[in-house]
Amino acid sequence: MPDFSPTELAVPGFVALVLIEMIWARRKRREAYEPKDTLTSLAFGLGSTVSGLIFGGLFLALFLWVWQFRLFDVPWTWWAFALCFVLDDLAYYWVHRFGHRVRWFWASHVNHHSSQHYNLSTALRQTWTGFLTLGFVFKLPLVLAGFHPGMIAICAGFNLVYQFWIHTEAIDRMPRWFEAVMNTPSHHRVHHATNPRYLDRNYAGVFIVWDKLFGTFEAETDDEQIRYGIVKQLGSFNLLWAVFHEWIGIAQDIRRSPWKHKLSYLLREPGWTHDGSRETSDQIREAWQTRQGRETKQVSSENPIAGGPEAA
Amino acid sequence: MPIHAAMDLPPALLQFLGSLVAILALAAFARALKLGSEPRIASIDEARRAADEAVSGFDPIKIGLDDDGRSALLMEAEGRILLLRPHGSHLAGRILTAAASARIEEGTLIVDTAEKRYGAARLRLADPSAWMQAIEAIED
Repeated sequence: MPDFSPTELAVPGFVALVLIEMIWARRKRREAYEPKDTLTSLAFGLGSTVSGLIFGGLFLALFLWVWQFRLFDVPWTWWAFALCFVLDDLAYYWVHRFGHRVRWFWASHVNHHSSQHYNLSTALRQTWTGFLTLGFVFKLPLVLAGFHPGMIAICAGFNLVYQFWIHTEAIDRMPRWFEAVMNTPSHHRVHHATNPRYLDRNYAGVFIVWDKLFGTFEAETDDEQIRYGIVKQLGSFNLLWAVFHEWIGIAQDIRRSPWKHKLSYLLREPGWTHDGSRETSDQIREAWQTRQGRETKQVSSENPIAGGPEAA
Repeated sequence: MPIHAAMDLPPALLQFLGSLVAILALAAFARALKLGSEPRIASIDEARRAADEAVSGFDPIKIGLDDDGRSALLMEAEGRILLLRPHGSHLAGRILTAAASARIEEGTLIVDTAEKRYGAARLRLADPSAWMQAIEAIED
């Protein structure tokens, strides 16, 4: 198995691009960076590499064990790499989607979303607690199909490297053909937004086609300024709180809730409560859409030019 | 640290220390460039917009804006009160619960959310005692 890590090799490039983006921010948008937020994001990145070093080996060992039961022998060829990269990206889409829709997974993934900024340092804001979720299960079909765990790890590394550059506001839109197929800064800004229209959209890693295929795509609109972060912003730069706050929230909710609801606080979507005291992203969007409809209706009844329901 | 001592360190630890120095240097660079800005709520309309951003659909009937525009208190018809205060370059909001408390010190209203990490906010605004009473009257 080759000892090759695309992410490790890319680190000097990450640093250089963050520096370049900071200089861009100095000239164009000083508020794009905030030193304390940057330090928190980078500390997240460092901690996640330590966590990966400690627990990554365990998952590799598990994958190698499962690989014994593979259906096919996939060779180490260029086409196998290409196929593995595409299938790994499909698996990533589903890991990521579960990361947003199941609170147990969200407790880990929320780390990546907890900054109110969207810059290249945000890309490095990676979780420390991924090993506590079952995200790896989504990669097992690839192992059972016969892709070597080493090949999957290399593809996943390239996937992560690709996702670095899309965490920026310095790039508006890429060429149309590129926006149609690939994940881009524009598509991923939507993913990090807390605006109701954008919640839980654009889960793609590299290819945006998965969102279009599975009905979770939302295009960025120029009419609405994006706000980044999470629905209930942290309001603190405390690193340990940022890392563990959702796990603590889950534990508190489970402790306080009646027995029949305890498991739901782990398995249902973030924001779900048995007493309706908080809102899920679907509820926030639905309420927002209702308000939008009401406002549109008011405008159209006051101003006939604004339009109204057309006769069939 | 002398070079020979650094060479005795395990590679993973050396990599960790190198990365730590790099991230501190990057954060220091951001500071040296004076990146970041303090958010300001310049008007009632801005406060209203910021409230909707913090809690989608929040519809205030009463708004108390800090004289410096750093923070704001907003109240809905049903009595829900939202506190907006700066967090880095942005604002972070909290719906106040019954655990929240308020007091007035030399004309400044101090609102404690009772949430340890979010903390308290100081506001110089009109009619602080009315806000203090409203906050003390919050029930869960």
